[in-house]
Amino acid sequence: MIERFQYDNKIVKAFIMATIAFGIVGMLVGLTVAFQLVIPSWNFAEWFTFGRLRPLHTNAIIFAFVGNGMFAGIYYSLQRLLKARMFSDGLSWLHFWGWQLIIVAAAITLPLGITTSKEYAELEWPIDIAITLIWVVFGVNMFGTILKRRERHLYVAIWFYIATWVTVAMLHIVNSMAMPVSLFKSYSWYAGVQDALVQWWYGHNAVAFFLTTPYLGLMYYFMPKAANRPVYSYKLSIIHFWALIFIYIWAGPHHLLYSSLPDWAQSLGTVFSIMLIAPSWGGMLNGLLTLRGAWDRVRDEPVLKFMVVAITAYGMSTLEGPLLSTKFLNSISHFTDWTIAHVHVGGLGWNGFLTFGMIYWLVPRMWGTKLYSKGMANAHFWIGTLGIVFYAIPLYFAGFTQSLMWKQFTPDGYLVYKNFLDTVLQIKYAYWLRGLGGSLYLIGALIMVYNVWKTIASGKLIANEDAEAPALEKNYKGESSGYWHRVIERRPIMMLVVSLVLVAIGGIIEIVPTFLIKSNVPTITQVKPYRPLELHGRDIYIMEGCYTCHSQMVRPFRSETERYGEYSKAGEFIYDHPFQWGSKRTGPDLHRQGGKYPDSWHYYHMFDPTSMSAGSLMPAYPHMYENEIDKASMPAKIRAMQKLGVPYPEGFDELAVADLEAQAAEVAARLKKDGIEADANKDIIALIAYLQRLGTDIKQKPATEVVQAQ
Amino acid sequence: MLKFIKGHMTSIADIDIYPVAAFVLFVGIFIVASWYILTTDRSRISHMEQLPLSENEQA
Repeated sequence: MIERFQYDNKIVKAFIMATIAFGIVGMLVGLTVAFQLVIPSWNFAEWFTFGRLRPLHTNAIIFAFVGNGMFAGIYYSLQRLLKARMFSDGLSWLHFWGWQLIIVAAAITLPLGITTSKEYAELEWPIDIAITLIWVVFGVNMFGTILKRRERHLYVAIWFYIATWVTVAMLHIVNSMAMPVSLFKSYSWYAGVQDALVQWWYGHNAVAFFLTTPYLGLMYYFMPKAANRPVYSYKLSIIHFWALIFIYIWAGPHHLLYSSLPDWAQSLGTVFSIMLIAPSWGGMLNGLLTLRGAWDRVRDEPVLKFMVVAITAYGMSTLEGPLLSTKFLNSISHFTDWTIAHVHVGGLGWNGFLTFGMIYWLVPRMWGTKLYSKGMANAHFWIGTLGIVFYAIPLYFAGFTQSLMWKQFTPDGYLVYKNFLDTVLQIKYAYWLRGLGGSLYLIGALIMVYNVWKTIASGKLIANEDAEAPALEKNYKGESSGYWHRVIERRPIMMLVVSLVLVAIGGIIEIVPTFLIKSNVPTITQVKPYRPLELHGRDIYIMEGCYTCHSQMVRPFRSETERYGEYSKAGEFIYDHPFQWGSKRTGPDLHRQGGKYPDSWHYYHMFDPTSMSAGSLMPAYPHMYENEIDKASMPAKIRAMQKLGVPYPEGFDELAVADLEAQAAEVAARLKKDGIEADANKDIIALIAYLQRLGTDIKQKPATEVVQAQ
Repeated sequence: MLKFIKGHMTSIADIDIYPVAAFVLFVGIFIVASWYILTTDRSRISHMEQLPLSENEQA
């Protein structure tokens, strides 16, 4: 029996509009932070500093631009591949508005400094809960549609959507576990090495399962559509899928090479990263070869141009990623702008260009018209491509240059560039060029906005597109000789379970050992919990996003121990909820900062960094000299830390404020000695206390050794 | 100082099971996936790969 029904295009339209709007906003914020790096005066307000805006940029691009783009593509393709309207219009719109509200909440809280400091998971716990709920709404809507489908078999794109849904759910929940202190503040459940491992297991797989797998699904749908021929090899796509979702989940620790992470975990991350080349390139070739016999059409079809460059960029960054996971290249690239270049080849090239290609393909069809101007789309393509080139290449130079400068010794064995700032000023030109690249890319996107707007004006939205298909037989028994995989192709829930099992295995093997075995992270007796003032200073460090430019991880290289001091040990971070290892050094490492300079140096430096280091690109933080230390929340913070296992003595929460004030008075007294009249109630005092504590614990003589010496 | 970064795993009971399990699973996945694509018949594959292109036709 043929059934008549309608595809819902209105929801796809809404997601497309959100994709474009938030894409422009996210790129604008990106451009702003790019220029803040070279023009420090652009950090003109407390809520407008690099440290607070950079997370806004990353979140806006990942979750608002790519997220909405993913949903637009999924809502369009899912209905058609399953020959069914979305399960529930109500859920579709709840999903849409819920997601936009989360984005707005992020756009408000991140500039206010409300952050967990875990990269790409910075949003505080109430928003995390909202994300979980909306993700469930999306999942119910997707699986509801799958269950009422009129096509028995699930096309490979849908497998990618299912894997995306289940894995992102798992990653988000595990990584966001936190102990709330108040509505806007929480501490990560995990500390130090464990927190770092969970975070980068999340961070890496957010790239894998939020930026890659859903977009591969879109590639497997829209590329054949645009090329008007089936995918090059459907069999290859099956291998691509299973290999990718199984291997990706293991590769997270490659973000922590040479860190205090146990060696076995680092090696595991490297091995699986190298193996990832195979499925990634299989997928890339599968996408590109879909154009077999149709390459001539790439010449005059902008949609195909965008897709070809997108898939090529996917291939480039998935080759580069595994190479950067080798210890040798990682020792050069890590903490430098090379990483930034790498992610932007993926972000601008793969996600951006695939989104643009998809939009240029979708909009004329959904509005029943022709693209307003092919010429403009071509202009967008070329300007955008140039933008990517101008963005990435200078940063590759910058990364190499700076890293080699960090490691350069004189024949006598001293560092050539003792002053970290020298290595930053050397690559300032690259930051300017990168800004130019970003500007070009944004101009291209603005051309698209105009083109899409004119296209829409010339047509009318086909809000509900008529379709018809036979209903599925109710009592389908399947082929008598059915293979297991055909059964999975017909049973989405089983597909979900198998995917979850596969990704969970990798996660469990990586994470469980460090969790269950306490001795896995050797404790160091001298390492003690932070005093309340230091804890507050640490919260300021987190709030200001200092981790976006400063690492707290001295790697065991001579070039680093020479510059910073003793390399970092796993046991030093056991009270760090959350960890603050960082991933990029635009400024020097701070793990051994304690005691390096007098308090007065920090006092002057935070007010105007150029006063202590001429030419510094660091923002000034005058508001720290005005904002009062939040003493009222201190007992709650101590109690939260106690619940997380930090061994403050019982009842210490009641004594915390007194201890805080006592230590603040000590800092103020030391400042007074240097001729500074400082108010002991201001945030700057707490920050100085924290910076002076950093990395000093292991320098204390352990009590046992003192006894022996007597 | 090496004691801080060496020997993290020695304290875990039955640690051998982790790499073995990982290896078996890993190879298993590939054998099973390869077995499937080598044994599946052509008509099914062509039906599957036509899915994105045949949405407006009657199945």
